[in-house]
Amino acid sequence: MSGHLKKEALKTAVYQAIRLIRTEEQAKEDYLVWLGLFGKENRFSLVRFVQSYSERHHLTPEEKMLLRDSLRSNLFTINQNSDDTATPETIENTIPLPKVNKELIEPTIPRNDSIEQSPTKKTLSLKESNMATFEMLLNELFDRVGKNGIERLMLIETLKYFLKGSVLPINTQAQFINWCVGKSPSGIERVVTMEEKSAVIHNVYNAICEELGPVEADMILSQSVEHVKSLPCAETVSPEVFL
Amino acid sequence: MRSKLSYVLFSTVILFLASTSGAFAAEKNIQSFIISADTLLLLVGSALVFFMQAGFALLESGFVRSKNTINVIMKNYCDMAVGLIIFWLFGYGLMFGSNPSGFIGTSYFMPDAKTGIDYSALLYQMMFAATAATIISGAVAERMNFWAYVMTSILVTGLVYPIFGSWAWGGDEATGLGWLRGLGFIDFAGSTVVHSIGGWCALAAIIVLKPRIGRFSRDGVARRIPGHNLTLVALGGFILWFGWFGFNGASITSSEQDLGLILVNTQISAAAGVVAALLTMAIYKQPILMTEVINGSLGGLVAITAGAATMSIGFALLTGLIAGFFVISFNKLLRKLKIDDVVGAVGVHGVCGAWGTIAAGLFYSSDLFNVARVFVQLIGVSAAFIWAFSAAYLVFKLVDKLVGIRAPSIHEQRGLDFSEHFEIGYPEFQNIKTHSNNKG
Repeated sequence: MSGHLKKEALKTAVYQAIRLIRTEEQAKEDYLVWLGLFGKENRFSLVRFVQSYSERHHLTPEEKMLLRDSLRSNLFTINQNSDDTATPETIENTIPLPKVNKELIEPTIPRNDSIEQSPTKKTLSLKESNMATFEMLLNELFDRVGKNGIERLMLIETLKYFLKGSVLPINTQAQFINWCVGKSPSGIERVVTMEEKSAVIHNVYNAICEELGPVEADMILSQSVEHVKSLPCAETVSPEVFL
Repeated sequence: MRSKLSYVLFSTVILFLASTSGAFAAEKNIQSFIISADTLLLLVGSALVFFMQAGFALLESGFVRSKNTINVIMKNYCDMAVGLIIFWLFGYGLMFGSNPSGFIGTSYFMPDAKTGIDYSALLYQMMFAATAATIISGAVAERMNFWAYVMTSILVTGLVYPIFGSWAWGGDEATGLGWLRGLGFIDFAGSTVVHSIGGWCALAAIIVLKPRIGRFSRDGVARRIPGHNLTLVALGGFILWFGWFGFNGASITSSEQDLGLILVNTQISAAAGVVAALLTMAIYKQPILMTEVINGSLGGLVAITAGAATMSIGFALLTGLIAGFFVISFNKLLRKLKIDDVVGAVGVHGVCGAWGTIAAGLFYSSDLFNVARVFVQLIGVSAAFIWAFSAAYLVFKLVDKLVGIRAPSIHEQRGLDFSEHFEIGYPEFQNIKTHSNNKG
């Protein structure tokens, strides 16, 4: 991946992460503000970005976590496409930042009017929103299970058992589990079809039933769905489609 | 059928007729009144037993999570409808047809005017058959495929229930009695014939079905899955208790039986079931659960059903007390064995039905603790278990092979209301969204 494309991908990653917790207009505004600051600093630090952004916009802990996880995941994807051995820290330290060039950046931002005019972009945007909502729902489920005293790894062990009998191909199962444990940020993208995504959510539900019981599982699932529905990413794709 | 009630109700009419008409005319009129009164008693009893279906529907639907309410009510409604038709087609003939072998009825299929049938008796027995079938729906709630349930309901009402019924209640002196009836087996209104048979079928069903997802933790601890509306459970309990006035009251078959005693025994035993359930929970240091208290009363009602006409009030009290204890203890045992009975149907109907039948032999008023009679009762209870459990187990296994008895786990997540019927019990109030509105 060339340096220019990498920078563009970084900007898109930041925009997409902001978009998950803000409305489209707010996200655009925040993004442009960030671009201004970004140009001055000429470096990018994930931790510093999340910290300063959350302080400036008074994010809730959940929104802050959402922003951080999404950005980290996006950066991993960029990094994996260019260098498989890199870590977030190396990205943080090695990406030289471009000078602000609005005209160059603007076309990469998904916009409503361009989506309506181009069927290809519409499909892409729906796919992205679909994946973002799916990922948010999974993260929300894992977080809520964690708050109920079940460690993520324990839940994932149970999930593995349930996934064995699911429609997910074995390779996809392995990649997805790697994503769950934080080893493969792009592993979640292997879960492509709605049927597979639905199966994943259902098996997470089964695993929660096994660990906490069906009453808590119902509650966690419904609360997670309600929470994700309130996020901007759900404006295009509701989490209920995975149920 | 000659009931004592008839004599009591119309004694004044007899005197009047005797004084104003000739003796022959009076006798004829008396006979006519008695027949009318008996018919009326059976019809009112049938209506009360029919009303018990509403009790079952409310009790069972209150016991389940809100996402499975419609499914449980549908099962209750449909097993009754299907059961009534099947019992008229085959069941009545298998149960009450001439029974020369002692094991199965061979006449009165699709009974009508040509067969010279007593319609009121047919109606009453149809209601009983529907009751036996509906016992299963509560035990298998929240996880059983609807169509598989309907199929098993047909087989239970058309085969399992009437065949045992032919052993205990079938035949007549002229063509031969059912083999248990011939031995002197006592089951006044069906502790074993109706309730135990339903209970043992339910046990077979829940063993084949296996527990709901997450009902038991890995280390075997049972997790409580509270029902969504305990008010419905309580109302269902009251309706069932009320319905027992008809279930036991209209089962009177001889002028020697005292309707008053039968109904007093019924009430005392139910009340004793409640008291015993309370005490047992206190002894086990369990929370005093309303659901278990209601099951205690039902256990008392089921247990007294066999001996309500032949037991003194004191023994009815004892029968109810022991039944209440059995309900709580057996539910505890089932949880230990990791068997998931949603409403506690096996304890209430299976175990208390068996206990009540033994109690009817033990506490037979004119001949207490007669070993020979108790032995016959034990034979009847054992035969009921062996027949009903094994036949039902085969039926459920067969249906499982044919259509799959267990609803897919995704249906459990979404709730059977949505996945099986596409209807929601409480669309305005149901916060838990476990399915997508876009599907279907």
